[in-house]
Amino acid sequence: MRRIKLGRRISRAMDFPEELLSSEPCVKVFAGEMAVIYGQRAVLECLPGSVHLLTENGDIRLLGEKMHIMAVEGSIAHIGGKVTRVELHYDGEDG
Amino acid sequence: MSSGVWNYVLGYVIISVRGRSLERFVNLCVSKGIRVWAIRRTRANELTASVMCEDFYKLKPILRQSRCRVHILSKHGAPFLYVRNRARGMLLLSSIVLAIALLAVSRFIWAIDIRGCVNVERAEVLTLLQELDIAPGITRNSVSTSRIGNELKQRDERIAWAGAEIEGVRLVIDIVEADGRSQQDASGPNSVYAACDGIITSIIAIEGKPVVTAGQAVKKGDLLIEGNLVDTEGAQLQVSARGTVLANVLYTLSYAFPPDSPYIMRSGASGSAARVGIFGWQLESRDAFASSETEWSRKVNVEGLMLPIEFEFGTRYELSGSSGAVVGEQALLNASELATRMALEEMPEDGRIITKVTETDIKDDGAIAVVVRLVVQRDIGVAGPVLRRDVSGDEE
Repeated sequence: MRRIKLGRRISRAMDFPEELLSSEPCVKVFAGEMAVIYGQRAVLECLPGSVHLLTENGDIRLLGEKMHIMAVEGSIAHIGGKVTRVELHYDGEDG
Repeated sequence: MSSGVWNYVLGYVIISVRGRSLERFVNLCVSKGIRVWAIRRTRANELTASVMCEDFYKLKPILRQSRCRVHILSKHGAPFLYVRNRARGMLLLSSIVLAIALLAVSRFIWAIDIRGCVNVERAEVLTLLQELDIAPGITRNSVSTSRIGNELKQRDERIAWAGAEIEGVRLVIDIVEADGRSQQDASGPNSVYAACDGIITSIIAIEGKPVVTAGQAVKKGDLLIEGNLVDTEGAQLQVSARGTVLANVLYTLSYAFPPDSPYIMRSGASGSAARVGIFGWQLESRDAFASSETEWSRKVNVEGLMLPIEFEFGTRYELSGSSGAVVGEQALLNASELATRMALEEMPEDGRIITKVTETDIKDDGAIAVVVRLVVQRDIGVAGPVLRRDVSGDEE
């Protein structure tokens, strides 16, 4: 039986931003400027060319240039710099 | 992310953290609720970050756990500003006095800007305002912006609408002048005539009978829309003819520029220019050229500040040092561009440029002659007295 993602269903029905209600990792990239990661749990690596973050269901690696952590507030991380590539290793359920 | 202004008010420090477990240090800070931002890895075993002053003292156990060392690189914020300057009593006192003075000064109107003046002179509007006891130096509370517009309209019939607004310490008056050409004499009938020669492109008669059609050439003074009509029973009926008569009008303008006039002598190099003005004094940006001329294109009045500060931005053009009989290609281009701009300024505001042709010629004395031919589509109808006609149709 397919598991119902209640958080996502509610956010879609009420037009709430999904990333705030769901525990799934979410990456928003603002081209050339910054990226915002929702659902992060810990910083695994912070280098100018690579930022590696642990999430609830896997980990996310952002590759780019002159990257730095602008701020970390709970589960939301703001990464500054030019992001050229995002790698997601997802361990959660599909769909 | 929290506001940078708030961080400055409470004070923060930029620290350098050295150790092997730098990521663990960051994670521990986040888990303990310590705000850390602007985290940059500078070396393999070092990073820099910003923390609030009160949070800095909470780092000790975290540094022990993550086996890192911290070093303060710089301190920022209001608390540090106060500590550095608390021995300078006069500085603090004068800052307070200045703040109070600015606050007091901001309660008055110090400048009056009038926009939209074409036929009505700015001095005339200022005179009208003086009759209403409005002049620089009055308090802002004594100015009723809603009343000014109506008063100006009543005192000068050339003003169709006027509005007033207070922007900081400036009173801005916007004026829309009545268009005399389109006004019809409500007390009597009139016809519409051609204000200049042209070829009719469209005619829309709101009242009256059009007597010309699209494609027809008319001369200045020709009747376009008839106000003297004959009804079905043969009786004369006079109306105030109104309508829009668009025509293509040819304008030929000639200009002559001496070869050493500033605009013509532009070398082609340019740069940006800026200046700031307050209370009539102006400070201009440095001129990178030995000889130059500046065109100011944009003015910005900063709103919301207590002082009337104006910023102007433009372009600075380098003037070449050469003069004399030899006229370069650049000088011809400059002359053509200047003549076109001058010609466009003389065109009616409601006109639409259809075609533009420029011809340049160099005279024997080195002066540059430019002829600009413009075909402009504009409304050429103007109201005029209606011509009485008898039943047979002859005009009198």
